[in-house]
Amino acid sequence: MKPRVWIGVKSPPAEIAGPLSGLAEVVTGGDQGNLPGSTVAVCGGANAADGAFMDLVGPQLQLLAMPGIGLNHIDLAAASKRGILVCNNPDAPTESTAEHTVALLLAVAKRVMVGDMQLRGADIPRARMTGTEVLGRTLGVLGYGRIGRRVSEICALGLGMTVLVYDPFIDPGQPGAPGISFTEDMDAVFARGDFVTLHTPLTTETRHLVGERQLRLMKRGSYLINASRGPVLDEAALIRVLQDGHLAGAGLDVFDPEPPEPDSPLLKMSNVVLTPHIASRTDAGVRAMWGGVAHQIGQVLRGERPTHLANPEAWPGRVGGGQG
Amino acid sequence: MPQEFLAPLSGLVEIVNGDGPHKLAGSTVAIRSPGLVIDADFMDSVGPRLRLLAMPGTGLDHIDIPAASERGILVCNNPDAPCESTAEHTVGLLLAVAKGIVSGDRQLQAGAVDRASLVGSELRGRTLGVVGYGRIGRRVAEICSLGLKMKALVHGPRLHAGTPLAEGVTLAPSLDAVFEQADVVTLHTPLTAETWHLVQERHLRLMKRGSYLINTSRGAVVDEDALIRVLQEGHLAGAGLDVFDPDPPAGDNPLLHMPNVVATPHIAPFTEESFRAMWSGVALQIRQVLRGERPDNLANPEVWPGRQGQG
Repeated sequence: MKPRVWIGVKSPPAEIAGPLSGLAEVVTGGDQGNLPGSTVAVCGGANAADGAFMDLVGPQLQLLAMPGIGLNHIDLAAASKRGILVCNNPDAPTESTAEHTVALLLAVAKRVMVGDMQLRGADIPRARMTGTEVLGRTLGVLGYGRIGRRVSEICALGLGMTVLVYDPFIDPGQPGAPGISFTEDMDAVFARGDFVTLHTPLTTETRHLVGERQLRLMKRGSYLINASRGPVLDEAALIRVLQDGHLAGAGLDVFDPEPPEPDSPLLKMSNVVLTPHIASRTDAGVRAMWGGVAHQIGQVLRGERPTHLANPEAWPGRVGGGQG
Repeated sequence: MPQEFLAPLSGLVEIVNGDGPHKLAGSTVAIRSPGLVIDADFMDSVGPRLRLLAMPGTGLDHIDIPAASERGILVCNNPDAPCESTAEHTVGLLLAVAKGIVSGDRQLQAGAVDRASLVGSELRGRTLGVVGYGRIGRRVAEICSLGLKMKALVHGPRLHAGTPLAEGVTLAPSLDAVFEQADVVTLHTPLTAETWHLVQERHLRLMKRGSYLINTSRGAVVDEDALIRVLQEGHLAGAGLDVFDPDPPAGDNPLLHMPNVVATPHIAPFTEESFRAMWSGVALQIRQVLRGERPDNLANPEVWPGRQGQG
């Protein structure tokens, strides 16, 4: 009997099926009734995988695979304890997410959304459409991993912005690309940025990392962009500083909770541009994420160590051999 | 016109701001506001005292320059002032279309998100076709090649094999090649008799299926009916438009009812920085002319030789 690969989304792209045909029985649709007995579970953003989820799948479960980069929905310790491998695809969504971040930044700075709404019949005065030139403005970047680095590059080298980066895990003395500098003071990113963009993973340390104090450090009339994870930001505080006009606008791809409640005040604000967590959803991004998932499932079924193993402590006890 | 930008003129002149055309007669300087067509009748209604027609922005397509020259009236524009903002807006529209920003926002507001409809395009490594390589076209090519790591393929009437181009920017062998090879085409030509409907249905059909058109230049540079057809058929995946023909567009313009079109109401130069640059440019040109100096960015230099300094 072929090992079963359970995929927690309705219609995964073709990239996943080809490489697995012959290797596994692929079950899509996200119906948890099909979970028990699966060897691999592929979890999209909506599938939280805690110890109970793993036990529901049962002892055959060898791999939890994530198409994207975020591991915040997975209880890594519970997986390791059960000897279950967890892998993600940290490089796959980088470029698309970075581009989406810059798209949100320009959409708010250039009043693209209000302009489009006005042309489609909304009553918005032209005075509301005076935007901001970004050349020479300061972009504060919180988190200089793959995505933060690429956003910095696009904004410094292309748009001619001055980029100031804070990341506790990098050496602030390292040479940056032209226009990019580093600070050891996280507050400086907020105090000096005309735009601030967040690029941290969601962990216990980064939950509500950005609260009302940081938002009030920002200059009046500045903008906040978030394409990382909603809970990195205290959303209620963001709503307050937007409502009292301290911030000129925000561009958000992520929310807390997610999706946002239908009565979220953010949905009613014309100076906020919102997208439904689609930053990594592009032709190339989807291809890279699902191609990476298929590749790593193949590796595990063949008994090989997967390329992006998030819990290496689960590996040493594993015996090569897979199911194939 | 914003009061703060008029300060450099205080004491020099009497300013009539935002009033109807009945105040025009007898003016020495007229500053064009959006929507105003400046033809011979307009000039004659101002009368013989008119010495300068000042344009805050770049475009001269609403001015009858031969009629101005015939009457000895100077015409000035401010071609540098709106460049950066217009280039940035162009990239903003390109990203908004490619990333589903506006449709994503609209779906969230409506409470009906269809994720399958929201798969965008990654731009890195894609080809950007730039038609018109003046100040704005050049800056757009630079932002996209240096920042987004796109390949820029450019075409302009003054470009030739020896023209120095920025890193990542290549000269296209022909205008057709821009449309054939690009994943995104962006237009940056002035509107003149030669560029009216420069982009016809034939060019749009040369574009790859699934590519995008961006226009922040002038609406009439594109045959808008043809653009509507290729979008309706799905040959193009989307368009980002700041300009229309006519401009502003009629409410029943099909472009305003397409989910894959991002439309802004000719606001590319609408930023604080660009307003400041445009109006301070106009103020400087007015002072120059009132002092009898030749103004910066004189669009009809043929008028100047016969003019005498007379502050």
